Amino acid sequence: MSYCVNCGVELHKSAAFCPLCNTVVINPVNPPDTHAKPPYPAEIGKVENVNSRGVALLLTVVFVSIALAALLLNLFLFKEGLWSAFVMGASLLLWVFTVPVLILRPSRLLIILLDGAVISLYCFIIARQTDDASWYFGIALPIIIMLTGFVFLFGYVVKRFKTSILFKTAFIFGELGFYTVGIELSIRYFLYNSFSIRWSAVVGTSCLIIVAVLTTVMKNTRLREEVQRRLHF
Amino acid sequence: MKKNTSNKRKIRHWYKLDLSANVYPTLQRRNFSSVYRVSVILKQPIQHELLQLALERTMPRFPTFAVAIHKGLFWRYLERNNKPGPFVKADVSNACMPIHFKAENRYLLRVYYYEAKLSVEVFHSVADGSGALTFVKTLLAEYYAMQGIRIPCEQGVLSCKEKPRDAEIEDAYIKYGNGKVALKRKGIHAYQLRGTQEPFYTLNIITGVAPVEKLLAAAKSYKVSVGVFLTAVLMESLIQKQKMDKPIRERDVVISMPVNLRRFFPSDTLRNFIVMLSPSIDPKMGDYTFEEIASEINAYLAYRLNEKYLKANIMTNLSVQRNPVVRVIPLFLKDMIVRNAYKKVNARESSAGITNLGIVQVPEEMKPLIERFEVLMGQPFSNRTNLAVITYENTISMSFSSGIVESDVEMLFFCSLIKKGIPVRIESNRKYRT
Ligand SMILES: [Zn+2]
Repeated sequence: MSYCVNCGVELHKSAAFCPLCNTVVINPVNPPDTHAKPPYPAEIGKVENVNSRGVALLLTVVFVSIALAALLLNLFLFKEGLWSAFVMGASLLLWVFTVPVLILRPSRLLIILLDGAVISLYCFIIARQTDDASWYFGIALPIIIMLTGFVFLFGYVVKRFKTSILFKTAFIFGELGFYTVGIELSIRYFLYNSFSIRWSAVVGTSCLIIVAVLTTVMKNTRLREEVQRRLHF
Repeated sequence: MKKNTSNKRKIRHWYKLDLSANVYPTLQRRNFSSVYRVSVILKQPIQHELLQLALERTMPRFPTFAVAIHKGLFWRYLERNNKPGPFVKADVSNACMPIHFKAENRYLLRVYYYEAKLSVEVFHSVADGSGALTFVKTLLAEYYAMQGIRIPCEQGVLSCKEKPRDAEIEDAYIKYGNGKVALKRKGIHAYQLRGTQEPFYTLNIITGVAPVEKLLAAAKSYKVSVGVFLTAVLMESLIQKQKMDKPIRERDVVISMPVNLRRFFPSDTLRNFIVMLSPSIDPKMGDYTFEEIASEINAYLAYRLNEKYLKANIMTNLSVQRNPVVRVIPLFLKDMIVRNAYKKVNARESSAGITNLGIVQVPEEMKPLIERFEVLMGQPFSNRTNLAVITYENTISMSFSSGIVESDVEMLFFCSLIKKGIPVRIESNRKYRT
């Protein structure tokens, strides 16, 4: 048992610091008892989410039965073409869009990756059914991968670092610039087999200018406060 | 057979939400619900298997506690909950976490144990602090009965052998809501605490424990009651905190405090029976000394704590609820309107909250088994800090709960008590801030 040297309150025998003023307890005569049970438990409780689990189960049943019905009809009744692949793909797409959000709420990053993967898969199914599938690897896949990557990166940065609204805006504009350039590059490479950019250069430059302005504002405290004052909501 | 059916008819299967209870579920969010907790710290560690048995015996005695909340077309209502539960759980660090209406078998009540501490968390639509305290005391008596210690049913301990009485489940607001005038509301924009928001699933608790006699002596030297004294100390801390923030324009410091109406209108209800009062100080009028703050609050309460004023206060909310237009608006619209109004008006109307459950009386046989009581308000809707006070024998427990990292108000409050000669022991679940 000690007293806080800063604010004078008596502390619990297990306390290694004062909860009020954050002053560390240094008491050579009577050091903090690290084995004593603290006054409050350390375990963090989680609220169970019954409602979403029921909805998730319902959605799963609906999508699985739609896919199964389509498959059976395709196999035994309307046998021309593998049209059920579209239906099954669409069911899978909608399932991945809805159900993980309900169950895996905390890990948004995983959900972004899953969504990217299932969109790629669905486009692949469409590509397999059409005669010329080169557009898939040439344009669709690169664009989807880039989009997933940029969204994932943004999600990661927001989750990992404490970011201000200004930083988020700047980050989005930066990503937007790169993304436009990426799109034009893949289109031109697919159509003309050349790595060059034209219109996206304009978009990219504008985005970079916006990023530069925003970073300046962020760096400058007075300017930042002014912006916060005028734009607060 | 016939007798059985007539008995069944007597059991009520659903309850209208009482006047205070209506607003809490409307404000419900995924990360917010109005939950508070009443704890009792015993002298011996808790045997949780026995506690579970005691809980199962206690629940039927409290029909308004064994409920689930449901939506009607116009209003929500409480319905008898026949699902298994509630179950006693090991305590968690984030007390008063949101109650999701469909989770935990739809119970609006949680019971926790940690070492020698028994805690009951209640959703505010079910009961107010006074009702919850009766529940805790009865649960405790049953728990000791399991161990062969007989506790007489007096001092707020109910007998689980008896049937619930009608007076315990009555809506006392309706009973006394027969006034002719309603008070006008005045909207003010009070000083709001600012701070760094803690992540979801964190509730910072700081409890100060102090000897009552010292506090009583200090309060007496300012010629006020302990409740007014503590409100004044909190008020002074908030005024100082606002000064530390260096605002361009100082705002009124307002403390909202529930008043237990059972003191003024005899009722045995175990449900809600409180109204909110909000003493305030306008710091723009000048620098108040502690004596001035204390006498200001004392005068404020002296003017209002009487039957006539409180009845008019009840009528303010009751007249809204009885308004025929309000009654036929569908629930989802009501929710939208009330939620927005609350965000824009009520959430800004106070800077902090203080709840004083007063002195807990227990039967003589229970006294040697209990160390002290503790109350805790849940996560506040806005950024304010909440203080909950309860007195047992010679120990007063003052618990702050907040969702922000900074603990300035808590520090100002307890340091002020120390300066006034009251020794305070601090217990907390806060983490060291690097
Ligand atoms: Zn300290």
